[in-house]
Amino acid sequence: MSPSAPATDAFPIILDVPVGSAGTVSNDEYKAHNRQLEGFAALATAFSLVLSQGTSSSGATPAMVPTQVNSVPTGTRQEQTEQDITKWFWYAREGFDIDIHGSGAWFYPKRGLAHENVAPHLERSLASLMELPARVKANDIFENEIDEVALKSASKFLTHLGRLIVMTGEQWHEPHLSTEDRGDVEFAWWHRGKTLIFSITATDVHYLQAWGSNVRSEMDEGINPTHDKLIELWRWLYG
Amino acid sequence: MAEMANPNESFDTVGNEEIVFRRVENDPFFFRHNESTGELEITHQAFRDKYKKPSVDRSQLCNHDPKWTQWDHGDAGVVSLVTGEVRAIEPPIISRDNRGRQVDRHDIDVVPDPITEIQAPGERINPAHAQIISSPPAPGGAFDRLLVALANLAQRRGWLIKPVDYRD
Repeated sequence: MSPSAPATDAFPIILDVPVGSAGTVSNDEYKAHNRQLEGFAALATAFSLVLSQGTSSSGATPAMVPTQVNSVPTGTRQEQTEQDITKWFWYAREGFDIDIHGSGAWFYPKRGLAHENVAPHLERSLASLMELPARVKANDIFENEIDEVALKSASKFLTHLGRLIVMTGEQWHEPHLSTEDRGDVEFAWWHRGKTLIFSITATDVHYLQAWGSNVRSEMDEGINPTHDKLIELWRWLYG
Repeated sequence: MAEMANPNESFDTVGNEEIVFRRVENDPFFFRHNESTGELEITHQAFRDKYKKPSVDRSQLCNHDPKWTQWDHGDAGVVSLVTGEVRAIEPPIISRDNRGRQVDRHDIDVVPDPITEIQAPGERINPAHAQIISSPPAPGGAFDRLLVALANLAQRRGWLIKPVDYRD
């Protein structure tokens, strides 16, 4: 399935984005983000309204793909905005759950992957995550406490990753929890001499993979991995 | 407790062949039990230091006794590194910005840092004390790569003393 393959028979649908309505998104995470993310939230609000109401003023339904996006939110690019929202509608039509967060959107197929089916795999990890701030605070080797927004993002990320792992038929492994001492949450896994580390801050996901001690030729890193990259990293570690 | 270090030994430089000890506190932040292999594995957090200068003790200045490094932290474990291997962590480490552009180069070294007078609670006189440093100081990402490398090197050499819950 490719998100770049919207329905070709869609008739013209105009999606009116309520610019300035970002405040209606009752999610504290957005408060810590910049103007671009506020714009993104406005877009998410518009999309959510269409999904929840079934129709918009222009008659759009989740099964339809907008061909025009009006009023691109402040700080976002027209081209990127159209790509994003087209992708979201395509996923909605295909029956995916959509979780729109501060800097992007994650998609999960609804069927056979309800949250309760994944929860047992994550329950212990999420419980440990909630205890992490107190553990870090109590350990004087760390200078900085866990940032509340980072903790929420980490919880979302872990849930997302867990769903993704189960969805792709891989086995979930409980992460080692810690922090890189910049207010972030760190998830780490090791397998057969390989290390995979994610550091979740309020705004970004950093990853580091290592398969030896040579920092140049045996380590790689990146930021905000895509769906495909997350799966690739997991399979690299456990494959 | 182990005997006092020999104050007559030279501590001007740390030789490449020298072994250094690192204390690993008895906290699951710093190690993990690998259920597949049954091994107790050192995590990179075992080398974390808020000043980004992980402390070690020079084996030859503490009678090659890891208990010196354990000190009065009887529950803690001790691991070791070879100085030359630390210096050879593919120098230099490169730090990059969010766009992947090189920001700096960081050479890794092990330098003597004998503690000759107690300046803060929790300190002790320790002529064997040394530090693993990067020059210039490595920022977050580069420092974390260093920690991973140190943990991998230490893991290869194994535990000299395991944390209390994992001792035979």
